[in-house]
Amino acid sequence: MSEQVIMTIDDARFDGGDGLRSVRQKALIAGVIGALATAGGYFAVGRDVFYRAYLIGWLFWLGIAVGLLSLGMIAQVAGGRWGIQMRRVQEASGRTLWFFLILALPICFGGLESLFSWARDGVAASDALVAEKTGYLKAWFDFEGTNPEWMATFVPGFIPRILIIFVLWLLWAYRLSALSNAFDAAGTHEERERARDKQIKWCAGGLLVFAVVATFASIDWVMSTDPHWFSSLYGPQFIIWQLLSGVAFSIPLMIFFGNREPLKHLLDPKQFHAYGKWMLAFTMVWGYFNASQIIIIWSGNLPEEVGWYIHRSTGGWYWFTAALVLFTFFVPFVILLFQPLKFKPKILLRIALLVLATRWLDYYWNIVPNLHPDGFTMHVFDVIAPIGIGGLWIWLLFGQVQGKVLVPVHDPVIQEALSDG
Amino acid sequence: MATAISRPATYGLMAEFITPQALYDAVKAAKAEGYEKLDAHMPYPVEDICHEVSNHKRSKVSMIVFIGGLTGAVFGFLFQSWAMGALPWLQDLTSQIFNYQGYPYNIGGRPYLSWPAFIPVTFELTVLFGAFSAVIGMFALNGLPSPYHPVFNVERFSRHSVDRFFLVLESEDPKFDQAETRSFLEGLGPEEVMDVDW
Repeated sequence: MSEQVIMTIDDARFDGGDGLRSVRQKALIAGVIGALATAGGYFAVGRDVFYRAYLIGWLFWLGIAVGLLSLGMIAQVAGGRWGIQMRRVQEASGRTLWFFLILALPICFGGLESLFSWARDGVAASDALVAEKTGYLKAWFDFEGTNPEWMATFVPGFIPRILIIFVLWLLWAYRLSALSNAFDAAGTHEERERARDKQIKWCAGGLLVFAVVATFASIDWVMSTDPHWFSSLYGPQFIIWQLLSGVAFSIPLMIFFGNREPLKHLLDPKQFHAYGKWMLAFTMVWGYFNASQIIIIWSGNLPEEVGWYIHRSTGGWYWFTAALVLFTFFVPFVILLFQPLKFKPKILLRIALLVLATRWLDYYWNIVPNLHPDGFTMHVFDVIAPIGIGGLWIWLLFGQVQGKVLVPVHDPVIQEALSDG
Repeated sequence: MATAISRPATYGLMAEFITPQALYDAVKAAKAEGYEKLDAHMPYPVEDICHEVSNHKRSKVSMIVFIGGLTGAVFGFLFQSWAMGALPWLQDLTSQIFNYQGYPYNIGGRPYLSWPAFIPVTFELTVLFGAFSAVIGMFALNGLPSPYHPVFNVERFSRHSVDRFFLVLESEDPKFDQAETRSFLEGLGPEEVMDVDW
């Protein structure tokens, strides 16, 4: 046991210094160049490639941001020493979510027809299945009641639903940050206990709200790119995509903050081990959901369901699917089984980068075969758009931690960790 | 016969300690002195002492479970494929050895190698084989059940499950010498040092 480290609120502030400035600078350069290339790409590669690359890049980074925030909420509700260290950084990621709401504008007001066949004129008239779903699959509202189902009139469409989803996410993101500030400002033990209690209640409720929100998000943004197909496992899958993204992105963040004050003394191999275990668990859940989905659809063998898998197992998509299963499930699963590897940040970082790469592949696999069922297709632009979005987002995220209190010094778990050294 | 003649006079020597810290220090001292065949007994598991006694080596059970699980997965998948007659090389093999073959069964026009349908059974057999390997491997490695053990010949040893901590140095250790080892143990400040009869 080493000597006790005494930390005050002022010590817990993240100054960042040159390391932070350099990361922000690099991210901003990558983001601006990427964003300019993305904007230029709209004219160079055409609407269809532009919007699908943009949607996938948007979903990829949004998944990381929401995943980080959700992990922070899980850490607060579950308690214990494994996750509380990174919670303030994860809360900071919640305060960047408005960025993704702004980025949703081009999808809503330009890309709808390119990405979603249900939004095109005349499709509902010629396609009986889509016609039945117009009560839900619509851009705005349907006050005239063109759909015979009475409920269809009251269901908001794609664009108002994006607004509702983001309002809920942002409400929780800013509420949790405000409660953290109240916790730090509290002077007495009783005040702190009250603030912590409130925080735990908001986190527990938030996890429920986020689960419902993710279901709508998954149906709207990913599943409805093929308006014929449906899977009731899509909401849970979407949650796992986001949590896996959040866990994988936490590892480079932990390496960055673990080398700097104030988190230097708090991030030890045990935290990396905990995040390695999360990564293994979510990888297994990913495999479990995907296996369940194909077992059910394979056994049912219904024409409106099997098409989705036929598109992904023929015409060049077969090899893409095989690579996806190998690198998303088998490779990280086998590596993460070995306990000593999970204690080593450098090895975990490599696995995390693999997991992040497969997150992008997974979004691609879920969306693009719906738009190009005839054969495999990929464009350099598919990689450029995510770089632009990611650069700008990382610049924003690191701006949100600058000068902020990153260690809840009054938290009993943190005090225990500090006294253990 | 030969073993009976060359057998040492006692099973070993036992030292009794009151605190886990004293036992931990004693184990470290014995290791430093060069004793390899030793064991520690305590009323509850103390992680540091267990690590010290096992030379910080991880148990082999996890590797046995991994191999068992993998065997279950391969067996489960191949058995189903064989039963459906889906793999010609496997059919040839079994018809040569047992004069048996799988029975190809058309289920809703699906291919005979209907792998999505094989996943649940493959998974279950992975778990089953893994669980059996864990239990069998655990018993094989820890030597249980052990109906007789010399340490119980020491009367005071019954307190190992109540409030005392014991270190046993076994006579099979090449460094073991009845008089020398006894004086070494007494130097560690135990409550008492006892001979362990066979």
